[in-house]
Amino acid sequence: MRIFFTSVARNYLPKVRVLAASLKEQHPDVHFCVALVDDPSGTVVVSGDVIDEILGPDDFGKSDFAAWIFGHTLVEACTAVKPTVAELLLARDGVETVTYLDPDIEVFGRFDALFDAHEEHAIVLTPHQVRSEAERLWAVGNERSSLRHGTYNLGFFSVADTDAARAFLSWWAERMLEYCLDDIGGGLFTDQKWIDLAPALFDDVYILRDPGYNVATWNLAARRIGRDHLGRLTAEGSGLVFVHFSGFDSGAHHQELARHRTNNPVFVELSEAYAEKTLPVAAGEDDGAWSFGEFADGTPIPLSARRRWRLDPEMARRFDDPFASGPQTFQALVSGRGSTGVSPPAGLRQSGLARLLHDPSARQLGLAPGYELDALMREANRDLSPINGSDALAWPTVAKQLRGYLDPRLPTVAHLTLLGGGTGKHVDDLIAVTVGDINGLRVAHTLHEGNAYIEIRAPRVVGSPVVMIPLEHAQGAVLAALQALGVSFVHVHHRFGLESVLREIVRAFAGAYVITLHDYAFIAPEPHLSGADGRWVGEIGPGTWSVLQALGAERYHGIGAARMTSHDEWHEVLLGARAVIAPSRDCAERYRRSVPELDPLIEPHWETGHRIDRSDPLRPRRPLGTDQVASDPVRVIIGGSFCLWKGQQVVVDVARLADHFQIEMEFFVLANRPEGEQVWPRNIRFLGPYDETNLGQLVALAAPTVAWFPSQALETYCYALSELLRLRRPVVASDLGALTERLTPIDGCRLVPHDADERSWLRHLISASAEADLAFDAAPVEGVPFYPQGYLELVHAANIVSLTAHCEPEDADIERANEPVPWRWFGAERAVVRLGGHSHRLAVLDAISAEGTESETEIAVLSVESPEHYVVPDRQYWDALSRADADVTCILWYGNEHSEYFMVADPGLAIIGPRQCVIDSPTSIVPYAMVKYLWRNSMNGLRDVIEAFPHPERIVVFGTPPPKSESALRSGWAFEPLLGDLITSLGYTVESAPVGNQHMRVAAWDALQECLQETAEAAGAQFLAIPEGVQDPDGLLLPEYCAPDATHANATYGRLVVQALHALVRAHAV
Amino acid sequence: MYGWGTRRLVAWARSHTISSELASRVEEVRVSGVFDPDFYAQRYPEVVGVGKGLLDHYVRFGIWENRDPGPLFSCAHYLNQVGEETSMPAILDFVLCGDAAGRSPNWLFDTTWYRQRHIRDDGRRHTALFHYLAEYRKNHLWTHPLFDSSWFAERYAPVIPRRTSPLAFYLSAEDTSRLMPNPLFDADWYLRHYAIESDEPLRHYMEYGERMGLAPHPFVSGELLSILAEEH
Repeated sequence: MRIFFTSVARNYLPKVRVLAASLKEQHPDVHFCVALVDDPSGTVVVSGDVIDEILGPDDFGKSDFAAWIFGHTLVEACTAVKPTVAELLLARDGVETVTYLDPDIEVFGRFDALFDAHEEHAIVLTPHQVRSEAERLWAVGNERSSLRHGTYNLGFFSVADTDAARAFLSWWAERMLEYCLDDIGGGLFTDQKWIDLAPALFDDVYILRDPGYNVATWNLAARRIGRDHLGRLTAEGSGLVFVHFSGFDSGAHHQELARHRTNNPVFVELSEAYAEKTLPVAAGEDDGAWSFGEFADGTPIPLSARRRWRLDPEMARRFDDPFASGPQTFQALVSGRGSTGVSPPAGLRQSGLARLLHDPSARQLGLAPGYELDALMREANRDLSPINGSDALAWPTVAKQLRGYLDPRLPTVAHLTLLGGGTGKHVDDLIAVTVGDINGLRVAHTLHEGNAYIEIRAPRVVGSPVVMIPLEHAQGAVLAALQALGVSFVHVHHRFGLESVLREIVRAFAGAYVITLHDYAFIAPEPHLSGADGRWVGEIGPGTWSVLQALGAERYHGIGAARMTSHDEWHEVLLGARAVIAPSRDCAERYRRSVPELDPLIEPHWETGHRIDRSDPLRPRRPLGTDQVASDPVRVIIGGSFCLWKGQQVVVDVARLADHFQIEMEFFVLANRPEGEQVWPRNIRFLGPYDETNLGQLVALAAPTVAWFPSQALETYCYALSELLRLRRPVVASDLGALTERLTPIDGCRLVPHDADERSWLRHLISASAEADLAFDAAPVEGVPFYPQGYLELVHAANIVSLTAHCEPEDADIERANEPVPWRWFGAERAVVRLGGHSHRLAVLDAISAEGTESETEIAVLSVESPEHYVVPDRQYWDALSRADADVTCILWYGNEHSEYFMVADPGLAIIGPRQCVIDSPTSIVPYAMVKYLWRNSMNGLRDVIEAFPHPERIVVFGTPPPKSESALRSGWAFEPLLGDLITSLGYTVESAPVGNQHMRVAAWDALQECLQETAEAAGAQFLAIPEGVQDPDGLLLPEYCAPDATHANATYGRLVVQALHALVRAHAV
Repeated sequence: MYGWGTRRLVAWARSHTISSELASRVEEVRVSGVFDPDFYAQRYPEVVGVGKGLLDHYVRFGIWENRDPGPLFSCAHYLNQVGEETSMPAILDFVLCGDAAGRSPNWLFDTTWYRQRHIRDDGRRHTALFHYLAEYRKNHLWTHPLFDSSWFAERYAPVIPRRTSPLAFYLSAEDTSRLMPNPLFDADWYLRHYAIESDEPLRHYMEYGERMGLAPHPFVSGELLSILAEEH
């Protein structure tokens, strides 16, 4: 059986009928089939028709057809299914040939020449042109068109039942799944351009040059259509078989025809007749609309939406049905329609940035409204942008802002580091793992608009500003910024580029800094920078790493004197550190050799992928064993970066050797191809640079059988090794640095002398590649990990020492501090209300101590033996409170958060809170939501306490006293030696220290009260606001309720609290 | 009230069987300021010196041939939103119904957003784009949630030609990598920081950057913006 088919949407059915009728006139016995890329229901009647069969989308065998077709236009979709349908038809029993004809073809003669060709050939194609154009005009028009659109016209192709044809269709169909695009600039023209490759890729392709086949406007100049003496149509004297009326509807056909009108009158007649034949049918059947051309609500699908769907795989993951309409659909996304159906501001709906700039709801959340933020940003931009001048000294203001984002109760640690690489990763990991215990700041070199800066940022504090200090101001300024930020501890990871700055910092933080050794820069100078006497004469610049590393590895000779005598100052820095942390024994040992007094802690880096999981997705799917070596190529992945000191030359030499011996080996490098003219061996593949996010994909791509670390210099730790160990494939590595001690315990890994020759490396790689997967269960790090607990203890210990250095505490004080606090109850023995909390409890305690409690409501306060003495509640305190028998438990939670942040502050700083107020020219605005965010740690503590109670519903969280006036504050500072000292340490006097403006302090307090209420209610407790009448119109605590210090209320206020609790209990009893 | 030119135009329009409604829309386009002769001459050099001037050419032919009158109206952008074949020239379709339907004349003009924010309902019909052209010097206007026209005008005052609106200046710039469309989008920093190669960083940010959590400015956290976008 011979099958002819075409592929269309419903709107082309009128043309298909003309095609089918004309075909059946010549070949009544062939089977004519239509692939309908449209909704097949309704309009089409097959029986008794010239159309024998209709295949619909369900027959194409494409899984997820809707998602696929959504990415295509009508023309793309109709052309893309051609090879798939041809494959389906060819697979049927008894089919000899399958021939495709475009729906806009009319048949005028028999296909005998085609069938003859199929006697010997599997695939038959017709070119657009079969003869070179004689005239330049046509050469430009037609031949160039073929170059752009493809040599062969895919309005026709034909395949016979052979393996070659099946292979051809299979390849073509696969390409059409993804690459059936009208993108001429990108080298694609739907299905057609691909077929230029067919004669090269497949055997048995026959180019049918019969001028009677596929006559169309693009070859009309070379094919004169006429009639023979019997009136039969001819093309260039040959019998006319079929004409392709391409572009008939778009007008292109008629445009072209006009150019040929004079020399091809017969063709013009055929065209006019074709137009007549298709019209009447069209009136009856063509309903125009493509069923895949619209969203569910009837809105036409724009091309941009189709392209976006196709180019963004994320879309298919997010939306099950691309055609769906309504909220949360792909249509809503691309059209910018919201759930209401009314077209809302599209950009605003999708964009967080737009929301930050405009959205009133963001304002309700407390984020700065656009204009205030503009003012802030304009200020900042003036500092950084060359357009508004190059004065880049805004950092002190920004540092103040950044400090506002840090938790004041936690120590602040500044990590002096490099960005990127293992060092950068270590710092980022360390800051991440100590979140909640430490405010981690990253201090590093960076470039902005071509200028160098020292950048200080809090990477884990969302939305926090970044302090940028121009490099030329770094001396002095970096230290001042760290002090302004309240840094209590410094962690040196690198010499930081500017050694003088580093020296300055470590001097200021004597005893409160640690050093992690990531390289040998502290002990290894460069030979050319050693003076005549062998002493150090300069600073380290970029590009000298290999020398440094090699020096550390002691591979250079004759410069021992320089190594031993230089850097005495650095030795002091090393020895002055509270601790020096070496990530490997080897590293520690080498440092000890240079600085014998040094005793580094040996602690491997903390890693996110610390423990090796057997179900790790990075493992190769197929475990390899020795029996497979003969057939499997050796696939080597090179660990880490690709540079000389990591063994770049060794890799090149070994790859060349493998190539020379024709060993089937591939070397995968996790880096870009280095720039330059060097010719790299062809068996080296460059996978591109990696980071934690894409390493898995890259490694999966390489599917390595062995990992290789041919390092030529020392590794102090090597994160890349950890990553590649997760593969569980054998590792071959140089016997240098930390690699030795990390790999020795693992069976199946090989350590090779770093200066081994190529043959030796090659032998090891091949034999390691054939070994089974590594079988170690434990993490490669021995013992209990130091991070984060040991590290936190180190920081806290140093912090305590540095803060108490001036007080010189007695041993007895420290011992006393470790004793349990004797908590006890004050007030009524049979209390109905029991009250506990932080320092504000003292006002209540004073009140009940002075007057006792009213008889009907017994109140007791939990405190220490001397009521005037304040001790911070500990775990035992909260345990005692939660166990006490009471109808109501009242908690006075902390309540000085706002004072800590905003009591001493730039008076120009403003918070727009819920109260009406007038702020004169604020210098900067702290978003209200950020203020509430600042209280989150404190609120987490409150939540934990409430949740520990058996009956949270019986708990009342009481509001805390509002802030005081500026005069009350200043007298309070004078009254409190601790605060007075703190203010002096900041460089102010009690009289001169700037007091945060009262509106801001009240707004911060308002935020705190909101947080207390939200936290209490979320945990199932009640919230009771402060008594009425204790605040002045601005919200400040009236003087008659102020205790003499800066933050607390007095016993009079305490009495009001007691009364409020009485009222509550009475109401409860009623 | 109409000048001689308009009367002739209306007469011409009638002779070409366009309705008076259409003729008055043509006139609305003509006087709106959306036509930029420099842009037109540069884009369509073949029409320079033809007939009675560029504006005349645009009104008589350009509109009907879907030629762009200036950077503020892109026929291609507009027709892409129409999503169906329309026999009406793009800009007339826009003035007649597209503006009211919220279709945008260019990628940085959000008609609905602009209307909600800047046009008071005074019972009169306003075409948002033309309102902007009439008002941009007097009021603080945003044409799009991410384009602060007034801020832009102030910042780039020395380089924006006197008769050019800030939005037209931004849209016609060959390379916008040094221009900040609002105070929180530092285009230059964005491109350098993420090593992005693009002449249209804002577009890149709108299409990819924000979704990928990239920060638009060194002082604004991309993470925070993702949270804000998700919260919405």
